[in-house]
Amino acid sequence: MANKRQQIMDAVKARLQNITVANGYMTNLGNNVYEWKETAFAENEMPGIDYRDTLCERFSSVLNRFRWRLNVEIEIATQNSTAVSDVRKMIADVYKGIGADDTWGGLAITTEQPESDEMRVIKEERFIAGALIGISIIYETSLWEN
Amino acid sequence: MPGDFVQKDLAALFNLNDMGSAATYAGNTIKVLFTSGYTAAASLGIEVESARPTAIVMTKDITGVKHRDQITINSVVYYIAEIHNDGLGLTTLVLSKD
Repeated sequence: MANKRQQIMDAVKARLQNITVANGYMTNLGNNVYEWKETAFAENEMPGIDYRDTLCERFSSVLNRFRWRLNVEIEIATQNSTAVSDVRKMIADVYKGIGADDTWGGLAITTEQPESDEMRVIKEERFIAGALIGISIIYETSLWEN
Repeated sequence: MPGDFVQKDLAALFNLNDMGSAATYAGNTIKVLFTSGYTAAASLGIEVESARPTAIVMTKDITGVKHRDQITINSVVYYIAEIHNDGLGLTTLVLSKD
């Protein structure tokens, strides 16, 4: 059985992949979901998400139970003439997806609402727009587990 | 007139049998030097494969050019995003598909 952190990241991937118009969202962002993407987004990989678990901090312990704050960065990228308004919808879809169950099926205690997100637009051959959302997932393990 | 030779030689640069391409601008067929080099656009840690299409044209062929004008090159419609006039007879147009 996978460790708790891996199970949570699997749940994050599944949740992001669920973001489709058919599932009641505004965009089909979930059609292109990548974990720790190593290459630049190609045209046929957008709109897309790249997510990665970065810092994982232990912040409290009670009776051999340890609480962790797992920071997950979610990047969105898209390109076309409506990229800016599309990204705003995609940000809303990501929030909606996370908010559907912020315990990730009971694996975590909660997920902290981001204090901010950030958008950027680049003008190259096409309008490229992206956004960065950072979430923190709070979960608990036993001694020397992660 | 001094400098005339520059204007005459410029025309040779745009020879369609060499580097030049035909383009349509404002209903007229003009000659351009077209390039579309790869660029990896990056921001916020997000990297996207892209290109930076540019067309060098003879300034006299695009009199009155302005941003968002359309130019068609190799059957692709581009919008003019930037206009760099070198003051010596050539203008570089930075192009966008959006």
